Amino acid sequence: MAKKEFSKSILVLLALFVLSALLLSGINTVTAPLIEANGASAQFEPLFAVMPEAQNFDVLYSAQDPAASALVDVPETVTGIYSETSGLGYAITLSTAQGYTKEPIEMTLAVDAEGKIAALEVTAYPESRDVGADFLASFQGQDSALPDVGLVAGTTFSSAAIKNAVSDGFAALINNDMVGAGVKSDDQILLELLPQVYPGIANNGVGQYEEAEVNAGSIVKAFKALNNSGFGFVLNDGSANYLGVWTLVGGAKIVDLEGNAVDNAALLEEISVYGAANCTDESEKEIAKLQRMVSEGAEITALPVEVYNSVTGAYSILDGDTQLYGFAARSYGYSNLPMAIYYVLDENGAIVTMTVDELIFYKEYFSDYTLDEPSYKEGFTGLTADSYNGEQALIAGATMSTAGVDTATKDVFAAFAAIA
Amino acid sequence: MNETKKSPKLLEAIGANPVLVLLLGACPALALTTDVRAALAIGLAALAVMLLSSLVIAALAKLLPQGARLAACVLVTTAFVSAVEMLMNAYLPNTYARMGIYLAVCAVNLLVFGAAENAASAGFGKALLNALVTGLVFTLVVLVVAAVRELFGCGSFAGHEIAFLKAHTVTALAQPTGGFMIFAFVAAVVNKLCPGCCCGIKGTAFAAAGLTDVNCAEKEEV
Repeated sequence: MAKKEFSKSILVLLALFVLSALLLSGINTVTAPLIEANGASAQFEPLFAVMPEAQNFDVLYSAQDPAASALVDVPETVTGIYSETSGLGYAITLSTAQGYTKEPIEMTLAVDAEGKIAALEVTAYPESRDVGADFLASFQGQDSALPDVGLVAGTTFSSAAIKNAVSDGFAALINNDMVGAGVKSDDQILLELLPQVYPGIANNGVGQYEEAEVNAGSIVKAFKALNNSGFGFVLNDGSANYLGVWTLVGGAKIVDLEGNAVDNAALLEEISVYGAANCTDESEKEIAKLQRMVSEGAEITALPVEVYNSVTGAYSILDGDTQLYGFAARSYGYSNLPMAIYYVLDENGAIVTMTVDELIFYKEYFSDYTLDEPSYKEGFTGLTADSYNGEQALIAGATMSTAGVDTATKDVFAAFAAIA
Repeated sequence: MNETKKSPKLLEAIGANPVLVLLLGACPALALTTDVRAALAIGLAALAVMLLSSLVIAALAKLLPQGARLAACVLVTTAFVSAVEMLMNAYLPNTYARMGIYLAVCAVNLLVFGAAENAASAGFGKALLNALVTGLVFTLVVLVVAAVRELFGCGSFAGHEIAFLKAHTVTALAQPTGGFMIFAFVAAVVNKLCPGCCCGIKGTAFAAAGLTDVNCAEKEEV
């Protein structure tokens, strides 16, 4: 009896199971395409936020499946390109490249049919410091040249990341002839050249400077490096615009819009006079610091070197009969703060000693690492341009600060090479 | 029986409802009652699942051996919940999104399950009626709780903001604490209006499962 009931139970349950499975798979067949379509329209929701009058969107490009798109040369920052079906323009989703920030900044950009920005909305902003509503509003109505978008002091990395991402979005449209490119002004072109011509005024390619006052003459604009290593200038001699660079350690040059060096003695003279008059000269402090690193009574004299990096001072040191060279560099460390780093090299270019005014290593970032400053500095002794490979300076977990030390070390070797 | 009451049958049905007496189905009832629309949706979804599963279980009652009843109830209710879930996801995507996980939680909702279990022992018609009444009362209760919580906790009704209420919201009401309080308050009011109604569920599957109200058991003895 019990056995009979047991098998009956099994049979009934099996039948119920099969019936339920049939019912559910039937419903699934009907609903699956609808559910998928619902998911796809939900994907457009952030696009309507930047284009409220849009009717609907067509997917032109998706980073998940770039091969399915007819568009070419789409930068990595662009995660999706959508065209508005009634011809209002394009919506682009962007995600900034890793490296600027720990987590990507995500945003949605609306570009109208004329190639002007209709709206820009940040959808994910993992940084602690806000770039501010004014910065985002400055994109409104701009073309691909973004003439009126400046970076925000204090959040230069984040604002540069956003600006570059927007440029990438435009690049995707322009590369595929969907909108025309905006025309950049000479000022813009020259300022974009500045970090290449004068790496000492930038950190990771992002300019670190503030605009300084100018009087009259050929200097249109002057930009003082935040590490006081020198100036960048926008110049106009009456016929053309040029970029001028003057460094405290002894460099001065003029380049044209293509970045080619220009021989113009009058302009060189003008920027040298301006630089000497307006720079923050810390040579006394640098000499005093170097004096403590060598024997008492060693003779230290300034040695002009033509470099455009983070080196702010180069000195010849005569220690008895020994010829040494001293350098001061101010590279950008954590949070773009300049760190003053000093080196004494022997006549063969090997580091005798190095020291840092203040290692800007933010301690809260070191949960299980304590910086042993003396041995860190000793690690540099004996290194030359050939034997130094960056590993001696870099500490994982303090990448921003130690990358600053790395830059300074390389710059000092470059300055030494320029002397010899 | 108090014959002077206008609709003692209705009140009795409300009073004897397992939502209020045994607090079954309280999980979605509390989670989704800060929005009237979500409350209505979960109420109707539960009603549909209860009706359908009661129908199937009642129809199969004769074929089902005692030992297979529980398993069959689980199977049938889960199947219908899954079906409702898919259909809502396809045809009412916004409502579906608002309900989140709680639609699926319906499958393990004792209220729904109880109705199905009940159907196995009751007759066909009685089972359907029971499912219908339980489902409707559940919907009514969650709607009342949701209306109070949305109006006074969130300052809106069915998603439309009401400026005056928005300025004077009682935040606690929108939180689970507030949900429990309003829920208990509704149960208390119904209990007061219809004392002893709770005994209406005596003898059902709930009682069989040992879920009888203690007070009712005492009353029986007196």
